[in-house]
Amino acid sequence: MRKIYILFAGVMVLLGVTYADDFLVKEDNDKGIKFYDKAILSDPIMQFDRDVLRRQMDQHIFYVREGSRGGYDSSGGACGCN
Amino acid sequence: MQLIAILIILIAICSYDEVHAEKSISVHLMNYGDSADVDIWEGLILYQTDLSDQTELSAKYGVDSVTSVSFNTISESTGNPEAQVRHSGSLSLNHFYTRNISGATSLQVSSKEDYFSYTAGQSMTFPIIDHLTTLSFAGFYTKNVNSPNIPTTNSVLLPPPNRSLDSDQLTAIMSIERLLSLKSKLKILAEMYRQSGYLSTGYQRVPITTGTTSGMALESVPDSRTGMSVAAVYSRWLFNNSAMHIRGRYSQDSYNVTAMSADVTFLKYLTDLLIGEFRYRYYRQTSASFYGDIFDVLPSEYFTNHQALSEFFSNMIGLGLTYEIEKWGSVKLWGDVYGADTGFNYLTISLGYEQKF
Repeated sequence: MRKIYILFAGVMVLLGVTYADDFLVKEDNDKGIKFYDKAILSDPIMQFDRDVLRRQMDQHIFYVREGSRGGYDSSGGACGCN
Repeated sequence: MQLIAILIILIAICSYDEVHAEKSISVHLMNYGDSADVDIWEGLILYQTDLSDQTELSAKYGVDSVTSVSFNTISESTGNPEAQVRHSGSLSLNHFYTRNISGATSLQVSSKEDYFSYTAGQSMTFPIIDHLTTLSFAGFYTKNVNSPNIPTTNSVLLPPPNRSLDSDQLTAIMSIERLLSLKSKLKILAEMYRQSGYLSTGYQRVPITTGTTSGMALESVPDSRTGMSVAAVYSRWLFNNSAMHIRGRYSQDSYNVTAMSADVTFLKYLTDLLIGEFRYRYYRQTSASFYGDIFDVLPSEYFTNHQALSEFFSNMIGLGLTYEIEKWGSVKLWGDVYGADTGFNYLTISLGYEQKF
């Protein structure tokens, strides 16, 4: 377990160092993809979790029936299933 | 009743707005039935509205009812074969601090007859580098207040005396989403959590055989559990108005449960308004270090025969249809079939409706 934590911390530090120079772009930055180029990326079927309620129902079942958790966008439990 | 009252007040507040706010209401109904004779009906209502140009509020209320259940899950342990009903509600406030930086604050409560829990969370999302990459952080705290209503006549099922049944959970999530091209994107998530307190259900019993005598005892699990998981999701737009999502996930925790899952979802516009969906998920996990299917000796400090902590693998297939009602919302129908090598399986059928106004 400890090795995993060290690896996780290492990745975080590496990302921080890599992106330190241009962290937090300015709002008026006009670089990158324009919104009108993102039509396909914004399509409903291109969303990772396009149905929040369905995902929550899935996670509720997995939480009770499987021994692992995590790896999804939101978490926090409070499903009342302990 | 309190949750319903809170929800009504919230909807009233949300209905009062001076701007032409976008609103939507979603209703989902689901039936779950499994090979352990558990049959659950679940309903969820999600209401979303813009409070201002920068702020959006989501209110959710859910209720589920266990209409039938296996003998050893509720009937034997509580002596009460009647259905259990659980209520839950959540509030989430999404706020755009600037044009690009957003944050969400959420509060969730849930309860059933012998159980109450609440979760408070905060997340932040902002772009980095060149607007092609988005970084998100989220943190959640969950408090479970547990007071099992177990009859005192059955002493073997009572939780250990003089012990708090409460538990806590702290969760931290970080994710990075990167647009790879105009037709593909990648998301990487890392999550760490720590649970502490009474982590058993208070209902789970373990058969114990010592020599010629046998009996039952409450399971015993460690008072804390720490885990981490990492996941990656790759999304790709395909030919003929279709898209594919591939997700890989790995997790490990202090119970020595190591798990991985891989799932692929394929979506396609069957017509301009009808979306078809196919999903496949493979899951495999190792058992907790203290798991035993049958105990033929005195158990060690920790013991359980809860199948969720055993070694198994499972497959799940899902099919779904979504009909988009132009400018109005959508109707959704889907079903999932899940089967594990332990013989456990379940089937869910769900119906959803979203109305925009």
